[in-house]
Amino acid sequence: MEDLFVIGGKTLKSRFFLGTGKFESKEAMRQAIIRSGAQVVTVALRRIDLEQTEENILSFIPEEIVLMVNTSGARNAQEAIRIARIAREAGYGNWVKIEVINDSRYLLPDNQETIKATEVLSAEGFVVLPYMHPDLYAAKALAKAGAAAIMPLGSLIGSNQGLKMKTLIEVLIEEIEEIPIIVDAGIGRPSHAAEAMEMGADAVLVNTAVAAAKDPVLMACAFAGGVEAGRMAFLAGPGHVRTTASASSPLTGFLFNE
Amino acid sequence: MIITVNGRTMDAAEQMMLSDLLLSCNVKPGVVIVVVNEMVVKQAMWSETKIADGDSIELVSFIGGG
Repeated sequence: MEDLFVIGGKTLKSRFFLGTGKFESKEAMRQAIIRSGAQVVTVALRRIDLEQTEENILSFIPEEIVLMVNTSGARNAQEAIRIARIAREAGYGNWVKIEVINDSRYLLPDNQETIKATEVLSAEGFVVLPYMHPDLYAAKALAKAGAAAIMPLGSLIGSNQGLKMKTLIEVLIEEIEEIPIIVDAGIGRPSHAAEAMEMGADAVLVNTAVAAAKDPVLMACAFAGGVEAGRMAFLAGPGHVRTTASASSPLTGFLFNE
Repeated sequence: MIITVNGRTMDAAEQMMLSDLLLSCNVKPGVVIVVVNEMVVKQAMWSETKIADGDSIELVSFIGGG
């Protein structure tokens, strides 16, 4: 049986979401998307530089890929709402990653403002995926507000530290049953992605670890493999962790038994 | 008349059309999203939209982001 992931009215085969920031080459980004099989990618919206003509990033993203507009740069709910509306009005779909950040050193998300933006945008028909600090009450509020999924941070954005928030994310996986959980931010190695999926996360979003790798295309493929392996392990049902040994071979019938 | 483009104050000629402004700003069609006073103006309407004194215009586009 095929293991499909349904979210925002889309049925996805890949549980590996890719961010498009920080790639040195847009062509490498395009190859990373294609070769890894990612079906959802994030992009951001910014004022253009009037002194410079830039390449259009959208021309490097295959048409069938779901664009998820990140509200990065928003410092409160109102600014996030504005970005989402502009993107949709301009014809770029209705998937939005709500990212509301006030703190420039740690880039931690503001859960309160994120909840407010989620309420408004969900009511307007957006597919809302909020980036959030893994707090159970905030997660419940986001689910109630109509989020299509929640995206708790694994660790600080771009830090490659992995699942520093592991225990709290496990709580969300255990307690939030109504919507999927996508681990976002800080995932630095394919093993981190596999670990998140083994825990029961529904998907993983990675950007920096792929974009900043020596070979981003190969790293994207490695992450896709990690996500797939972790997902299969979760479905297969990992064994319990024990404090003592448990023999893999029977402890009877030894050749040297008296 | 005075308008604001991406937060920068500019002096624009009376009766200027949005398409003329975009041309003077080197804006490539198909890449840039144009927002006039919080409303997105589609490309087909650029040559029919007249700029008014005090307009706030945002020229934005997609970039890589996580």
